[in-house]
Amino acid sequence: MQDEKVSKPQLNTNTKKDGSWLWMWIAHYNDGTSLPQYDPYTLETHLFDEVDQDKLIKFGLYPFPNSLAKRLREEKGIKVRSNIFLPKYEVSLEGSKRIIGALTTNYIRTTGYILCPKCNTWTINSKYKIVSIGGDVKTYKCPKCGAQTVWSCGECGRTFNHISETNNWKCPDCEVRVHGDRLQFYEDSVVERWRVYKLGYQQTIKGKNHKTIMNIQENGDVEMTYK
Amino acid sequence: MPASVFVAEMNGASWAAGNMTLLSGAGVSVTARYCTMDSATPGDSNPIPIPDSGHNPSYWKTHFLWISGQNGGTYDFTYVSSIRWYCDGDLFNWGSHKASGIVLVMDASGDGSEYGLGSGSYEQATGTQGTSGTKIAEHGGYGASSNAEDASALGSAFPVDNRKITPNDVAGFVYSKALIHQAWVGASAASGNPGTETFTWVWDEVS
Repeated sequence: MQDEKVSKPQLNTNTKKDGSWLWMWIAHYNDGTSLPQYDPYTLETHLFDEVDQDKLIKFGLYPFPNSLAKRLREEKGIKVRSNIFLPKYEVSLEGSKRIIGALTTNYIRTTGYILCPKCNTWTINSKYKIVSIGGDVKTYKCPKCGAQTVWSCGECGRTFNHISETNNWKCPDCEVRVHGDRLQFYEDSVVERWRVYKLGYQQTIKGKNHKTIMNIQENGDVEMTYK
Repeated sequence: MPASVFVAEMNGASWAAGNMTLLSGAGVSVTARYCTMDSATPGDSNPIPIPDSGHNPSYWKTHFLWISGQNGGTYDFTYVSSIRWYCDGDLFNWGSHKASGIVLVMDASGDGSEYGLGSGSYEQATGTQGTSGTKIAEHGGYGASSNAEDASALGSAFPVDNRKITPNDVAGFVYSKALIHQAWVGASAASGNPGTETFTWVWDEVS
């Protein structure tokens, strides 16, 4: 009889949260010229400090064109990704508006995951519920399929979904130690990186500074903040 | 290229590049492990014994961001600022209450304004190897000038380093201020590997 080999799936480290840059900025000037963060021909990097604020009429975040993303990755080693489904974001600077741009809030997180032996799915560990702890083992209930160790009393047949329902691992009715076929949940962790892009403007009205900022998530969702 | 930022751990008698271990980087993913020895890669050696009562502290960890971004005299980013840190607020795998486990972080400023510690004030983690670490608050150097607080009670990201760091602060790379933290394992903790806690570093960057 051939051995049945069941391999545990690898935790998917090819997460979308890999720290790739998704948008680049371009500053547009009143003389029809512009300054891009990355020159599409030479790949030279420009910094926000280089933006001529006096000539600036529009500032925007634009998804990387596929060809530029490929060149930046391969020729400059810059981790960027092209996603044509992402929108562009622009701020026009009429009147006394001053740009808030090229700002990102960045995250690095080590996240723990647990693999369910029944549905073979990795899920972030904070979504799991512990069904026994404080005894000789620790085991969980899968938030996806509900699989968990169930304990039962060999005397009366009563079942227990959480070890706290027992009397210190004994059936409360019979005082017989409960038993269950313990499911083996595997644990692993992955480093995730992502950022929130910030784009907006500030202006002084009646002596007070007001800021309007778009907080742009990597999926394109936007939350506006006013200060 | 924008700023390259990695999480790193410092061990050993002095703050030195040779004593640093990157926990995240190109092809690097090292999960830090609380234990009762001064090591970034202890494996299964020297776990934290579960006490009969109260809490047993690990050796403290010294974690910080390693930031680079200056190549051949050109600057790759304008500045990095407002470095923060937080945990998920629930020491999930250690039980549902503080009797099972807690993470304490050192508030270097003593008033909650900046938790990070400059590299010049670094102290090697101490304790009795294999048994317990020295409590931060009881350490002769750290305890005299700082507070130790429950990380989960601090909620959203709290400040570690308030400086504005530019690429030319240090040629080639910059260390952020370090967060000093340690695990306290409680008497009701489960034995064995408690799994991974979720810790997050946050910073602002102008490219």
